[in-house]
Amino acid sequence: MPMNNEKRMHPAAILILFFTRLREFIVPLILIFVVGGTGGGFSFRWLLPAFIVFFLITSIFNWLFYKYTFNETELHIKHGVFVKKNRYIRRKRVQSFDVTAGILQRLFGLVKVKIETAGGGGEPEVEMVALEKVEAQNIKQQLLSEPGTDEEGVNSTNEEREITADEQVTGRSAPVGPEVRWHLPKSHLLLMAVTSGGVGLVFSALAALFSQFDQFIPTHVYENTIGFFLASSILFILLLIVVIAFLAWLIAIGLTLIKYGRFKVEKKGDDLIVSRGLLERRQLTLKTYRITAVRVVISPLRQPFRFASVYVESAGGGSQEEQGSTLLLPMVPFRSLEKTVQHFVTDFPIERPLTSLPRRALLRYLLRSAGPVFAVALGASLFVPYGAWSFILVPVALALGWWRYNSGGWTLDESESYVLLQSRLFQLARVSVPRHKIQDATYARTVTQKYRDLAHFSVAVLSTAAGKTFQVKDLSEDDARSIHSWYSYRPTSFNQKREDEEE
Amino acid sequence: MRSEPSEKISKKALPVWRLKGAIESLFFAIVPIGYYFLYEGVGWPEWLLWVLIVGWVFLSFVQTFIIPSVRWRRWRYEVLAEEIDIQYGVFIVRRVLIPMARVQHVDTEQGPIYRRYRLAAVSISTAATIHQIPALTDEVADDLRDQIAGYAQTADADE
Repeated sequence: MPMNNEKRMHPAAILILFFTRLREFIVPLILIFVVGGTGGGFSFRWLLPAFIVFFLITSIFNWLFYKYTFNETELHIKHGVFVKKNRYIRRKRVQSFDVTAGILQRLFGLVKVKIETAGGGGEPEVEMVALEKVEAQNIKQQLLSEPGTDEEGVNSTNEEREITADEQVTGRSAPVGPEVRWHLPKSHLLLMAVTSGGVGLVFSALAALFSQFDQFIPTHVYENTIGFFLASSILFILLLIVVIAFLAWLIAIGLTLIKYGRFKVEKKGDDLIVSRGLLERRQLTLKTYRITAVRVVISPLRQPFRFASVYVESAGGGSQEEQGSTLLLPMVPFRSLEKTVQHFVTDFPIERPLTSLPRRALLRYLLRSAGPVFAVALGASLFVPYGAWSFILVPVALALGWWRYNSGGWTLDESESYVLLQSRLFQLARVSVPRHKIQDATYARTVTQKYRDLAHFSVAVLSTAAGKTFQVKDLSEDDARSIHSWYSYRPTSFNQKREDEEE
Repeated sequence: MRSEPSEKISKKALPVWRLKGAIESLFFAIVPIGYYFLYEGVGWPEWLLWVLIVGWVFLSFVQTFIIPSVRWRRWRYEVLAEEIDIQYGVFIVRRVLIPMARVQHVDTEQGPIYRRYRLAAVSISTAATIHQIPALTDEVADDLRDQIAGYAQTADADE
């Protein structure tokens, strides 16, 4: 490639970089400003303009010195003002391709591109904040298009090669238009917003905000209000809490609608393209063969409506708020769950009858969830007035323990190449993992479990930030052992298991 | 049912772990010492001070003498051509299987205390997790590292 092919981002990048930086520093800046206002003496008022000029200059330099070229095999990025850095992203290494259009980008009709390769922590390897849509599309085409001659894949890890080989056997798919498409219906989106768990989060934020009010309200108003509060009944305070909760609920609904509006999933060849968002549009492209696990999550609020969410684990692509996973299907009715999932990630079995936990595990589940609550309640009843009321929570915790016990389970699929593990913290989570994507398998036994023939079992898979571990607690020890030897690569153990089954 | 992994780690792990346990115990002494000042200054009850001291002595004894022995007895490993099988843990006994084809790299590590005792630890990394076999003699650690690296390579080629 000739060097004169180097390109810069769209000049709007300067503005976007500038605003991003300003946003990161706005709180400390305001603090300095406020302190400086009362402090006098030293001229703090020069500080804010100085920062703004500094940010502007660094943004201009960053844009000026950020150049990229790309061709069929790699993307080359040169950046750095004083220390020149070169980064080469090889096509074979690309794990995920993320295109977002934030509000700033939308003003200029631009998009932001994030590219992740295998390994290397949470930060994406490439982040280009301002590109023309066409340009982003071109880069994506170059880096993600179906490999024409990928036979020299020496550098790809064994996992990748293994699956590509499989894909070629099961049928080559020509990448012409999306083969499967799924979108979130408006009614489901609304139900999702109404049942979202974000309420608690917004509620605590609002409560914190309300409690900070006293700092901004003049003292006499404040004192009057306190007097009013003391005079009014506990009923009024309860009413206030209900109002705040309702407000929080409305805000949470709004946030969900904005974040997950126009949710769409497409499959083109090996690519899974997930798009979402009303204000900030995010488009994520994943390779299906990089998916290491499929996780079905059913929140208690959505269980009565018989809806589930589906997440996938893969190296790269996961977002922070989803703990490094990728939300593939936000709301799917139970009845079409397996079918819908199979459209996008074939072979991952979802609905299989599970082997439940043995009866003797129940006691441990009850103790685990009610024990700490009981201890805290005991402490509260001794030292806090009306603390004994907290014993009300003990039956609740017992019920939760029973629910968790009832939710736990495991099975192998009929081909014995996948393991399904199910457990519940509050939400029910069922994970489906193919044997060849499991990085290690552990079974663990505490001293007390030993006498009851119980054991925990867990598997680790590759995920965005690092590994992710899925565990089921208190399986019968025989079951834990049998999954463990199912996973074992030792030739004899596999035979041994077969023999056991025949007996 | 499969039997325990065959290999044990070096017996020299015991003095190292005892030393570690003792140092950690010193750190925990901060609880009774801190309470002593509350007892002197604010006049908190004396009996609790004795409870804390006895508790600390007991904890230190367990940490320096009992736990290292149990840990050493539990620690076992076995390296086969197909997989690595390890078992460890004092209160929770874990049994981990790592297939050779999943091993990304192996390292040997040696801190200042380990060097004194001519010990080394072998770290095994997969794409998702890292496992460490502690306290092997230098020679065993080096051999094990080379052996795992060799097996991992053949396992990769086979897949």
